[in-house]
Parts: sequence; C-alpha cells; structure tokens
Amino acid sequence: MIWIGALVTTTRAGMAVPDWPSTYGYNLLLYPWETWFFGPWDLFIEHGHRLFGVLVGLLTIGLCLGLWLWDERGWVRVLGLVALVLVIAQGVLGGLRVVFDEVRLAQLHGCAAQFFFAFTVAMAVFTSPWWRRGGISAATTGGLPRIALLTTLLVYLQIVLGSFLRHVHPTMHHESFRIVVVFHVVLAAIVVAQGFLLGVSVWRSRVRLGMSWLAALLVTLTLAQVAVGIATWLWKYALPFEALAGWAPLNGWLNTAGSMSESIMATAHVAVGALILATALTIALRSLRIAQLARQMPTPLAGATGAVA
Amino acid sequence: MSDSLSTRASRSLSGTGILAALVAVLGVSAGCSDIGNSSPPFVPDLVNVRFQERANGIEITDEQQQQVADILMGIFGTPDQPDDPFGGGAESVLARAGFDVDKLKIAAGPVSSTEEGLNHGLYRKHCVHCHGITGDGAGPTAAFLNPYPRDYRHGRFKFKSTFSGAKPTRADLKRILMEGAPGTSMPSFRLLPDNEIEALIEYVIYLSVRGETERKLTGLLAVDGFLPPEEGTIEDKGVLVAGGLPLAIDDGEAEEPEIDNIVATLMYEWYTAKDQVIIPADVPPMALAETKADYDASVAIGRELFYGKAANCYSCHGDSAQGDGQANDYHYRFTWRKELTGLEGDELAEAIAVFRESGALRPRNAIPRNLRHGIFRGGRRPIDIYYRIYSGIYGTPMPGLGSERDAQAAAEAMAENATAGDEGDDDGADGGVKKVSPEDIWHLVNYVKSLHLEPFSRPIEPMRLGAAREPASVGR
Repeated sequence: MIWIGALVTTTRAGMAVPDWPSTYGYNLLLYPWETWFFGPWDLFIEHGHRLFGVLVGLLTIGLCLGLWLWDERGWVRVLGLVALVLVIAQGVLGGLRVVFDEVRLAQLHGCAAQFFFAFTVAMAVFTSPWWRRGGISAATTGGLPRIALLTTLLVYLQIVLGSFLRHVHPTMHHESFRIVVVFHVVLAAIVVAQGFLLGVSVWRSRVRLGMSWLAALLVTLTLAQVAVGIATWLWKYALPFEALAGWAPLNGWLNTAGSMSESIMATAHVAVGALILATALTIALRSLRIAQLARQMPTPLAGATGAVA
Repeated sequence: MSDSLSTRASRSLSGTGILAALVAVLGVSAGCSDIGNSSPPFVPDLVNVRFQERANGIEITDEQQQQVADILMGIFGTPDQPDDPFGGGAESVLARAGFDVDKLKIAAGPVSSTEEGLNHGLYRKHCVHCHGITGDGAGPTAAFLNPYPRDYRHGRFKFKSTFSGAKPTRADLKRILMEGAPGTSMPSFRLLPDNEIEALIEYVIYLSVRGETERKLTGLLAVDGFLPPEEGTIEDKGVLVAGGLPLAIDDGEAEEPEIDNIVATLMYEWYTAKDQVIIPADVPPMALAETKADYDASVAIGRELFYGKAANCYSCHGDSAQGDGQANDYHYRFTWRKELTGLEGDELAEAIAVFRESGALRPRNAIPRNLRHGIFRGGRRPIDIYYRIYSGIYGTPMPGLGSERDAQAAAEAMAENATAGDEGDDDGADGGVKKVSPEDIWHLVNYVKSLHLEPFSRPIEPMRLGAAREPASVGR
C-alpha cells in the first residue's frame, strides 16, 4: 500500500481521478475494471491505490473483529478499534487531498500512511506468539528500549522531512527547500549512526537472540536507504554532473523525466523508509516487553544469566 | 562500549537529530507561504525592481508595482487560467498575440488527467520545481542546481540555432526538451508525447514573453516614472502594452510593431526567429575531413585558431582547455552585480542581501566549460558546436566568432531587442562577435570535438571504468 501510494506521488497521479469517493461518477468498486486495467497508467495507479485502500480497510475491520472474538486482552481490543479509526481517517484524508487538490493534504496523507503502517506493525508485534508467550524470558535490557524508541522517533521525523521533498509546492522558496535537503542529509547520517548504535546495543545485550536478526536488518536497511536516497537524487538531478554524464554505463539512464528507473528509485526510497520504521519499532516494542517482564520477575536473576526460553 | 555509554551516545545523537528535524520542519513551515494555497500566483520580479531602483536612484512604489501586476494580469492571466482570467469570455488577448491558447491550457494549471489519458498542468508536473511558477529559474530546487535553471523572463536562451541577439526557434526549444542538457540537471523529456512537448514549448514562450513584458514595464517606470499612456485606465495602458495585435505573422510581411507595443514586439521577435537561423557556410564539416589526413590537418588548424588571437578561446577555456582560464565573469542573469562593483566586505554583503531578500539566487561566476569531457550542454553534433562558436552562448560571456556581416546582423537584432528601460546586454557578453571565417569555425569544431580523445583528457577514464571492465582486477 505504501509502495503504491508512493508511486502515486512519484508519477503525479494523485488527480488522475478527479472525484472522491466516487471514481468518474461510479461507485469505487463498480468502476469498469477493463477501463481501469487497460486505461492510462496514472489512472491505473490512482484507482488501484483506492482499491488497495478498500482492501486494507476490510483487513483492518477483520483485524478488529478477530481481536474482539479471540483476544482476551482489553487493551489490544481497544488498539484494534483505534486502528479502524485510523484507517478510516487515512482514507478520508486521501479523499480530501483529491477534493481540494491540496499538496499539503497529500503530504499529510503520506505521513499518516507511515504512521498507520507503524501502528499495524505494532499490532502484529502485540498479537504475535512471541509476545503472548512472554517473549524470551526476562533479562536486563539496559538502555536498549530507550535507544530503540529514540531511533524509531528519529526515523519517523526523517520520513516527515522527506515528505517536504516529495510534496514540493510550486511556490516553495528555494531556501526552504535547501534547508530541508540539508537537514534530511544530516538526519540521515544521525539515523545511520543511531542504527549502528542500536545494532551494537542489541549484540552486546544478553537478549540479542531474540532480536539479532532485526538489528542486522535495521543496519542493512539504513545503509541501503542511504544508497537508494543518493540514487534517487542522481536519477532526478544527475549530480555530480561532469563525472556522471560521462560515465558510459549510465548514459541514457540518468535524467530522463518519467523514466521507469527514476520512478522505481524514488518510490523505493519511501518504501525502504517504511521498512526501517517498522524494524526499529519492532525492536523497541520487543525490548520494552523484555524490560517489562524483567520488572515483573521476583528475583533479579535474569540480569546475571540472560537466559533464553 | 558499555550500555550506559551507548545509551549516552544514543541520547546525544537522538537529541541532535530531533532538534535538527524540528528546526527544519519549523523553519520550513514558517517560510512556507504556500500552505493552503492551491492556486499559486505569479511572483513579481522584485529583483529587477530593486535593480532599477538602485540603478536609477528612484523608488518604484507599491502602487506602481500594482499597476504593472494589473496590466500583466489583463494580458497574461494567472498560472491557473492564462486566458480570460476573469471568466467574462472576452476576446482572447493571447490568441490575438499569436499564442495557441489550447496548448497553453494544456500546459497551465494544476496537475490532472482525464479518463482518456489527456494530461493537463504539464508545466507544474515537469518544470515548475526547477524553473519556478513564473519561469524565473528560481524554483524550489534551484539553489542546488549548477548551472541554475534558465530564467525565461530575460528572453535569452543559450542553446539555439539563431544569431546571438535573436530568440530561439521552436525547433531549438524542442530539441533541448527532447535531448535535455547533458552535464546539467535538465532532463530529457523524450518519453512525453509530441502534443505535450508542443504545449510545453508554447508555455515556455508565454512565460518568457510575460516576464520580458514585466521587465520592460518596470524599466519604463524607472526611467519615465509612469507607464504610457501617461493618463488613462489600466485597460488603456494594457491595450498599448499589448499593442498592434494581431500580428500578420503568417504572411512573412508583417510590419514591425511600435516599440511601445511591448507584447507585439516580443511576439514579432519570437515568430521571426526562424528567419534568424544561422545557415552554415558552403563548407560542410565532413568536406574538411574526408580522409584521416584531412581530419588531422583540420584539427591542427583548429588548434592553432584555439590558441590564436582571432578566436582567443584559450583566454577563457584555458591553456589546457579544461575551463581554467578566466573565472571572474558572471552569467547575464546577475546583471545586478553591476550594483556591487567597488563594494567590499560588509557593504558588499549588505548589497547582495538586498537582492537575495528579493528572491535572487546566490550569484555565481560563469565558469568556462571544460572541453575535455566531450560533454556539450547544447548538443554534441558538429552543427551544435558550430552554432555555439558562431554566435556565442547568449546570456553568458561566451562570444560569437561569426563573420562581420553576421556580427552586424546580430548587433541589429540586439538593438531591436533592447527597448527603453531595459538594461541592455551584458558588457562583454554576447556582443563580442569577431571575424573568423565559417571554414575556420568548422576547423575549431573538429578540434573541440577531438579534445576529449587526446591522451591528456583520458587519465581519469581508465581509473574510473577500468575496475569495472577489467576482469583481471576483480580476481578469480
């Protein structure tokens, strides 16, 4: 869903369907599929995004019902309801973006999408067998929960900053854009450092068996994201000019407006950002769970052993 | 690393990161005049207002600026609705001026598309983030780009087939849209259908004419203190500024409009650009190089010319042709630097700040091209390089080397181009047409095109590409 939404922004397809909640006057679900499927590319993307949104909404309703039926934890049921409210709000936000054709609403819709995605990831962690069986047995986590939470927060802030570069208003001042780019790059460096720090913390803590693969994934994703981010810029603006313009393998690839490779790069940058957010959040929630269990332990044995269930 | 140490490091990193992000978001939000504004307006050329004020020692009042804005609105409408902005169904001034209004409507306005796949808002989809809503070359991304995006409002385009002072032809604009400008951030739009390319060309001309009209009106205000006619309503003034429309542009015998009829004059220039195309002399490039020996001889002559007094290429492009000659000149768009001459230190910084607060980008020097990369922004065909050498690069210090007859034509074109109040052409730029024969220009073309093949040009290439291409270096 995030990928398709990002593709809508990349291809500027947001207004390919000018009405909402209908699609060219049709009920969203009754719009002739062949007109959609064989129609123009941006109509395919935008209407496809809406149909996918319906699917996500139905899945969220299913999640909500499932929690009420099979999960006895009251707080989890409430979170299921919150997820339902969020997905409805997100859908309405997307609709208002079309109704008002307002770039800032599109930006808000994009940021809210990442928030909702993170929320569903949290739900997945809360409802996982790992969580329900008490994770691994309690152990000291040191500063891990704090580091992981801060990393998650930083990643989200980075996503918000990035949204200013994705949803550029025609009259945005060039100095404003410059500020965002500079801070986006600075924050990228901080997030990478923070990702490494989190990885080191996981590996050094005695609870790492539960999360070492997540820590490795986080470090890998942050490094990949830097590479994709640089590629996104290069595919769009072809810097540094002299070196790249003369680099034969890239001739005919770089700097062609609307090319598939440019679309993939920019869209992947958003999608990998979502994965980093999900990974950091999962580490944060899991380490919080372990810390919570440690507090509930009658004796502080766990700190000494870090035993694994 | 102990846990407490990593926690402390994490905290300080996070603190810095969160602070940085918040500062950026708050800073940008505070600087965003665009929130809740889906219909962006054209941006007034305040840099030119400040320049004219300082150059003429006068003040252009807000009321006068509003007069200019009203006249422009009456003729050119808004970014969303260039034609008939008040919706009264009045006879289209733009159509009378010679614009294809249907094309303008496709390119203007917000981005959208129809069920059939017809796209609208093309300029905002493809161009605005660099060239700006007004075509001022100061869009959101501009500060990062080098060279800066073109400012259409000057009406000066670099890569074209016409004499120095002339406008480009539509074919010239189409070529740069299709090919991009290699070595810059200007992309190729070759994936766009032809009707969209044509619509964008029309819109670029529209923005250019609008911008030049604004600049000339501001110039008139600075010199005369009023907009002709001295008395009369905005509509009266608008009619005079538009003036003499429609032009009989198709029969090729149109009389030139009165100079006060600014829009008509500019449209005349655009539509007669095709008559200003440089026709290469009878010596085609290959005739100089039918054999290897011919080619080598041609390159040798070109080299002599390059380092000779007549062409004098080396004085800017450097002894090594790497663009390491003079580096102090400016692009035309920073004409306001004239106001900075003689200033130093705080005074200089203060003067620059005045223009930058008005929306100007940081002034940059026009660094001559490194000819040894083999990358030519205006195209790598021999004829492209011929045009560059023959007529120079308009709006930059690169002079043309065309014949004296053509120099005269160029000078006349430039004289026609400069109307009252406009600051004229840059000193040292555009006008310095010298006497080099067309045949010699072809020799220079051959020499310039051969430069990137010389061993001196290539040490970096094997280092950069060799590792990827040489299997032995990978190891097996």
